[in-house]
Amino acid sequence: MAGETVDLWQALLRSGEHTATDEEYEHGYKQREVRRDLRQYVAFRVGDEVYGLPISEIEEITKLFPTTFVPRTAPFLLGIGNVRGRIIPVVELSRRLGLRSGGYDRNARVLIVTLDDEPYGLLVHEVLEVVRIPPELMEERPGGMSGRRADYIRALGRYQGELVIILNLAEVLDPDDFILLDVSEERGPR
Amino acid sequence: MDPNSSEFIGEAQESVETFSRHLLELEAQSRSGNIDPDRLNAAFRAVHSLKGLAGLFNAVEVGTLSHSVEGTLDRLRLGKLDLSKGVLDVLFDAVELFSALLAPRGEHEEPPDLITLLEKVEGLSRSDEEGGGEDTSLEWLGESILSVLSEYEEHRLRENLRKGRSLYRVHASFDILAIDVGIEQLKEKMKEYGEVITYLPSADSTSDDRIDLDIILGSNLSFAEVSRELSDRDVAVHRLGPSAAPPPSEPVREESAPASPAPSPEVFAQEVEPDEGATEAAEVSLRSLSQTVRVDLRRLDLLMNLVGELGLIQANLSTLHTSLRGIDATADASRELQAQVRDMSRKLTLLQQGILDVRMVPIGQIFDKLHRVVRKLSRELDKEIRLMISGAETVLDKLIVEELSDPLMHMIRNCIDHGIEATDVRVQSGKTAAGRVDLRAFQKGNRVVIEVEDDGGGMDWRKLRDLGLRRGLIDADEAETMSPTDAYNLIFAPGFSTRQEANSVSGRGVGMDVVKTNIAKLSGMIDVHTEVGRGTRFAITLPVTLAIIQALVIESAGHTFCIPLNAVLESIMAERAEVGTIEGQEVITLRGRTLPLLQLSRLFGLKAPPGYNPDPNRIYVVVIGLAQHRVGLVVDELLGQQDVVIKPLGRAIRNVPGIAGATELGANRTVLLLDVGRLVDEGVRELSSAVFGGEHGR
Repeated sequence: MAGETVDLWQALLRSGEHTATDEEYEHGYKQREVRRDLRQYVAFRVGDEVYGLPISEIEEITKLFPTTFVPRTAPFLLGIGNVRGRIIPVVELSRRLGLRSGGYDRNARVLIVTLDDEPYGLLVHEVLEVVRIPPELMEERPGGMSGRRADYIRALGRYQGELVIILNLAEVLDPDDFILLDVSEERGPR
Repeated sequence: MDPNSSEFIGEAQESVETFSRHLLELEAQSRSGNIDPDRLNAAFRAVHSLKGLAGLFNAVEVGTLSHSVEGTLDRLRLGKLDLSKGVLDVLFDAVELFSALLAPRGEHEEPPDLITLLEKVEGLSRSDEEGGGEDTSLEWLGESILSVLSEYEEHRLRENLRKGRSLYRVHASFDILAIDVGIEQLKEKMKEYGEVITYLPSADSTSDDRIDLDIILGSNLSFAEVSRELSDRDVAVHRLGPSAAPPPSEPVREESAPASPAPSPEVFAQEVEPDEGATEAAEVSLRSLSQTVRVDLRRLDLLMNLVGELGLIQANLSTLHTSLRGIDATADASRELQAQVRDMSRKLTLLQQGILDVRMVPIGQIFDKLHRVVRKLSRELDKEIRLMISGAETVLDKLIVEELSDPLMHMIRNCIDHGIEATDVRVQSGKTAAGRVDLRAFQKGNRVVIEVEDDGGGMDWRKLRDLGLRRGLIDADEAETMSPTDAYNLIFAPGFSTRQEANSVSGRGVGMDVVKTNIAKLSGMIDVHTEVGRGTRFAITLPVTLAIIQALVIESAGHTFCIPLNAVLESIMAERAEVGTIEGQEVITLRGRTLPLLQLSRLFGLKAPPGYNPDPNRIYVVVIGLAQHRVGLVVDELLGQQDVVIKPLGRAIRNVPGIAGATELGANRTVLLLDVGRLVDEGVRELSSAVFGGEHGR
């Protein structure tokens, strides 16, 4: 990987090891500001597949923290956790994407992402690297794919011959899917 | 600058609200036929500064509308237009439109209809203009005065004459060093006796370090009275008028040839007349800046969180101290530490209170908006309504006040649409023709009660019951055994509307169920009292703040939860053996009364972690409930009481039924807060269908 990419990768790795300080936070933020147009993606592993999210959508990467189970929510919601005073719902991506769950080891990380100004945590098996994919190697979601799972996919990218599935956060984190239907609906007339 | 910025929206909304307040006042004054020109000027100023603001932020639509409204107000000021009901209506429409224009555009599918209103506003100005100026000659005032009067001043002068007031020329001499103070004092004094129409510079200065002014005053008082009240060493009063003494003294006439004095009256005129110039707007906004600071609520939340975390640290210190004391109880350092920790705890409490106070705003903010709603509705429905407001100064958390405005608006709509009868019906039943709606707020302990009461027809519980049956909300058996209280509570059920046909006023697909849900989200409760023929009263009880509450910490199947303490009636320990069942429903007898039980673990589908085994013979029952409905929540452990800082859940899980929020309990442990109202509701629904029929409502 190119020098500057390695730097950022190191920074991301470090931030996973301990709580990021304000300086680090600001540093990372500035880097992102500069590189927004370069289309960098954080690649991570969920099950056996490699997924990616634009680096601009990721606020920070942390180790798995304790979460609190929230009753009456979908199984893919691991629970809520507290990151620096903010309550963050943590989604187990493997369940959300319909893959087998579990199998987390010391490589497991939580990606803190922001959607509509609200933070969410995404539990993944491993964060791989920051990749730069030129637009010409990105393809729109192939027409042949269908079903709910396909909605989660924004595009398919190729990086050094490997497939990187770029997620569509708005769909993955659709608020309508979090609450179990049988309790959220008012019990009607009998 | 961006017209969508919160800066602009915030400031502009404030201006619109000020304008609206003045309008309401003007409406009241126009009924009594005595319109205060100062009030009209204040309304004009509000719109004027809005126009300036819109220009600054490039908000074209707001700018166009405020320009147009400003024109109308100017005509009103100059008496070219009468403040008729029609004019007021259009102006109130303008207020609505301003609000719509300032609302986040995403929520509106179509942009608000600016054109129609603009045409209405312009129409006003034109049609009434012709009837305008009746010209009584003011020749007797003399060219010296007439030539320097502005259009507005001339109008006020005629207006004073029309009301039969006398005009006086008050000649005052001020020390040049203290002229601003002097003028202000004299102005205040004169306001008590009449209206200050204009200030004119006077030529006959006595010395270089004094400035002389002629002030034209309109007053009901006689010459003798005015001169007795005002005259002193530096002030002399002369009477002006066609019949009275000759026009002003010779020197004035000579000096104030039309050209020369023109600039100076302008300078003084600004004190009475809002000038077109930018000086006025700048002055207004500067003043508001010096008194208040706008703070994003999120920043306060951040501070609140920090205080909460400090509280945790303080608790840790306290624990640490306790364990130190075990080692050496007599050490001075230990005692000192204890004193310091206590001191810190007190200061923390003050800090917490201070931040909470900053979040508090008077509920009067939304009462003003509701006033407009009432006005609009009474017009649309052709019902005369008197809105009586009390307790507008009651303070509540800003967040609660914001969230309250929609539910309250809906309740007021209901009162006027469904509650208050048509005028002829009211007169027949011996009531006043005008319906009365009371909006009250008052503090009660650590809660705030808001009441909305009408003196309308009230609700008949039998009719509600029958309607509930027709809507399929209850079945025939339930209807048979239904108590009045339960029937009244039907109005909070989804899909219930007492009107046959939905109309534009209340029938927007939102019912009292939404109101109830929204209020429950604020940890509030709503009750209804109604009497056929007498009226209906809704009472909303709310916590003063949402940010910090006292909570009971409990454990169920190994999961920890918090219950807002103000919803807990009592908590008791019981033997498993005391639990009986009625048709499968678990109950317990508490002081001779049967209390239905809800297992929290079953309600939430909680699975106990392996190795978790609470005492099988002992249970804890937390009695929770609203006024009539009481339910016992069965839990495994009571862990204690604690002040907790409530944190909102994000969009995704905000609406989980039965969960109201989250909080932190030391060691970064996140704990959920139960939504008691919702759980009781669920319990009651389940129970009334299963066992009790209508009985539990007693």
